[in-house]
Amino acid sequence: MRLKSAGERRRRRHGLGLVELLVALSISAAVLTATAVATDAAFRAYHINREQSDLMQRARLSVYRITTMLRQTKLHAPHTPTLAAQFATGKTVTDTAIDMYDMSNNQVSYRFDVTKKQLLAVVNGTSHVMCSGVETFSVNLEPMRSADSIKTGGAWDLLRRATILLTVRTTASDADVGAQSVTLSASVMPRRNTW
Amino acid sequence: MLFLVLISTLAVAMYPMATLNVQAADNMAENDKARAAAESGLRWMAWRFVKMTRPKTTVGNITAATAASLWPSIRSSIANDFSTMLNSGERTLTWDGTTYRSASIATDSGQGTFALQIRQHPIGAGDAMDSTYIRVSSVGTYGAASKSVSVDFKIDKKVKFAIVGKVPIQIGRNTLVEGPIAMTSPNKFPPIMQLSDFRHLTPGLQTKIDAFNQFLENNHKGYDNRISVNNPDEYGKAAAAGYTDYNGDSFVDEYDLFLKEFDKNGDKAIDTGEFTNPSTGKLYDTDLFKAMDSLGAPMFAGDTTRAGYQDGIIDNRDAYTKVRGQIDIAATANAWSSNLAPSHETIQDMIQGPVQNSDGSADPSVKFGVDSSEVFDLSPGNFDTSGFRNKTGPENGATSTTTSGGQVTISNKVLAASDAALGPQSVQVTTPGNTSFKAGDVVLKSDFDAANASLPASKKATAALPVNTANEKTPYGSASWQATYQRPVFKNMHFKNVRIPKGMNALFDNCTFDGVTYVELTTNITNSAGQTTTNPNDGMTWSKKMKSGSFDANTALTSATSYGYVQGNNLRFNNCSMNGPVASDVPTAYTHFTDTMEFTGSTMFNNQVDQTATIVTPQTNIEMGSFTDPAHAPSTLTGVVVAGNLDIRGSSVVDGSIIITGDGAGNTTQGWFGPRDDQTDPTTPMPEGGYGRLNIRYNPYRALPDGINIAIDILPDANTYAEGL
Repeated sequence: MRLKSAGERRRRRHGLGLVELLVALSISAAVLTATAVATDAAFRAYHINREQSDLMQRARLSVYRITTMLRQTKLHAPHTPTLAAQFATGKTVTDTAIDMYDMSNNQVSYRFDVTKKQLLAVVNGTSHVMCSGVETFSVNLEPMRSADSIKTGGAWDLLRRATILLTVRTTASDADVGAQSVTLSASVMPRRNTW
Repeated sequence: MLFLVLISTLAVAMYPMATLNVQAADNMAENDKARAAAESGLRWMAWRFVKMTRPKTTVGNITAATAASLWPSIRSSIANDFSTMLNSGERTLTWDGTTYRSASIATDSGQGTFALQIRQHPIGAGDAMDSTYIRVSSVGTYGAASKSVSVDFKIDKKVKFAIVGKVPIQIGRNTLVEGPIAMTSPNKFPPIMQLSDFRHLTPGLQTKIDAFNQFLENNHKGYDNRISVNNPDEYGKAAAAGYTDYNGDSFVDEYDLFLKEFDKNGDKAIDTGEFTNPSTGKLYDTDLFKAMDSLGAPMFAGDTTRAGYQDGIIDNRDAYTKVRGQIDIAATANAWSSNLAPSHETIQDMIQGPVQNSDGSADPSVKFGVDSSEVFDLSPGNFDTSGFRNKTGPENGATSTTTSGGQVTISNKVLAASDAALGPQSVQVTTPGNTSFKAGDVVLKSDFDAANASLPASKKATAALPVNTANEKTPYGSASWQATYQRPVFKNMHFKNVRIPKGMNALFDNCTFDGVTYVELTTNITNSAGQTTTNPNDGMTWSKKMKSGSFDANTALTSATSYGYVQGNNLRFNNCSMNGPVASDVPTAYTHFTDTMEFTGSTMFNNQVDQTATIVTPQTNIEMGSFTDPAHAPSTLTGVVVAGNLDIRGSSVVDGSIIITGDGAGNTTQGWFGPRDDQTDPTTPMPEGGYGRLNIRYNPYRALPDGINIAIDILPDANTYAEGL
């Protein structure tokens, strides 16, 4: 039997065998698949983060706007008539809208449009969309009485404290991204009533 | 490699987003912290305005011109106050000719600071606010964020209390108080004693109220005697015990029990029919009904009359509460409880009936440990009555004595005892004989003679004292008198702007006083060593000092026997009409009976001269109304009522403030507590004429009279709160 020379052995190793090719392809496929999955996850994470950030900004700005207004305005009351009636008898109530007047006597309301999932700022009857994708919006109103009302046995006509609860959900169509939501709450006392 | 590139790209893309989010959150947080710092600045300044030594003025009505003249003093007060701050770096105040600007003041050890700008209005052309307002702007800073807020503070001078004094305050049945109350002595007990208005009406209601008070003592926090339906714990227990908010005002209190007791038709109101006792055919308590129906009266001419005012129906519109205003007590709750412990009583036993804050705030309705900065200085030296004095006697105009229609009118005169002879002669009945007189009655001599004319000598009434002279115990009609006085008697006379000199000690019977009536007193009260004193015990010794003999409460004091008689003025006004204010000199100490004015019988106050004050007699003891017939003598006291001590019985309205400057009396009694001056027994049965009624109402619309030298107030007007400059 003749032994192959070293040159002959090297020449045979220069070729790519089928098995090797398959192994290489498999590895490549696995790596590419992993990369694709990771990329997709990264992109989704990016979208989710961006959505969260967006939601947070929207929620924060809305709450900030409402609390700032509540601090400075007057004649606050629940928007729903039945709740307003309960509020006037001294009951703490929770509504999806709150009415008030600013110092120029403009009527300002913040309302939750359930159908459109929007938080609306209504100024003198004109609606403005403050925030979209609102899942829930509620205002808990604790009443108090003015000195005049106390004197005459009148209604609970002032707001002692309002606690706002706002949940905003993304409006994106992507199922994963669309599942994101942010909930913020804030409590505020109108300064004119409770200095 | 590809993976690395992708991840890196995404990471780079997400970095600014995450940074933006964090930055946005940080900005929001800093904004809020900056605003909080700014608001802290406003509240800090409001607190300093209350606590700092503010300028005093004797001017009663703070107009824009007065406020403008006070501004330099206010600035000095602010600067002095800032100079006491612990951190020297924060003391700096700069004045640019219009505005004070403070240094940055740290809210705490963190980053938050605020800087204040203080400026008197008007700030510019067209500014609707005048000089009675000061704008305080506060710029809060936290990190890179800054926010500004502002509030306008009102310069004013008000008593702000319905009743304020240095002695224990007793609020009887049918006495309803609309306004805050303050008792400023921390070591006099009980600082407040307040009786239920309903407990006496029926035995059944008494049982219910006693049980409710026990329930409150066991289950209620605080001393307002009201359980809120919004307090789930307390309301749950109340509901379980069978108590309901019957009138639907969101509180369970005595009024619910009262309403439920008499509201036969369930309309949550009580009319006179429902409140009529079927066994007597009369109202259970006419005075109580009127007092409740008269709550919430108009404050000034043209003020809207509330619905349900004096309409003969008691309902929610009357907004009944025993006291509508915070009760400020200098003593601590612990000190009071300790004082009550030996008698096995509690604070709740002392404060009966609902109490609620007048402004709807959540502050406690009964506040303990109140310090002097929260109540103005009641020192007698702060009261200058010379303005009233100058409106009497020759200083006010030519002295005259005229007679018209048989009535003598004396104007602008310093009275003398001999002036009593200008009016009709009177005698004091010693023994009534067979006449209809009673012993002690002071009657016209003509009536006395006429009654005796047809009687035999043995049946005639007798009068031992000379004409126009009477001996009387003081307080008149009390079973616990302190002294006896021999008085000149002025009967059926008319006085205008007269001054009553010290040592007069007169009885004015059926007289009319127009204009200002001024009573002279010795101002320098001295102790046994001859030194000026402010001590009421020295005042009592001074009062009892005799020229001859020893003091005896049953022996009539005269100018010949008593130093106190000569130096003081113990006056009684019986069945008189007081159509103007009464004022007096201001002694250094409370002298008990020596400096006293008693308004008895049907004496009426109808002050048509000065709406700022009806009685300004610091250190003088004032007794109003009858010990035996409290429903007598309906009066309206407008403006402030300043006295060394003041006991009011009868049916009166105080439309202003009661200020008690003396610290020597055992208590000041508002309403009827019994037939004795020293009586506080709440079980004393109702006299035949009823308990009377007393509506005491602080009226913020009434200016103070000039002459009360107390500090101005600088208080925030919450309606002016604004964010942003």
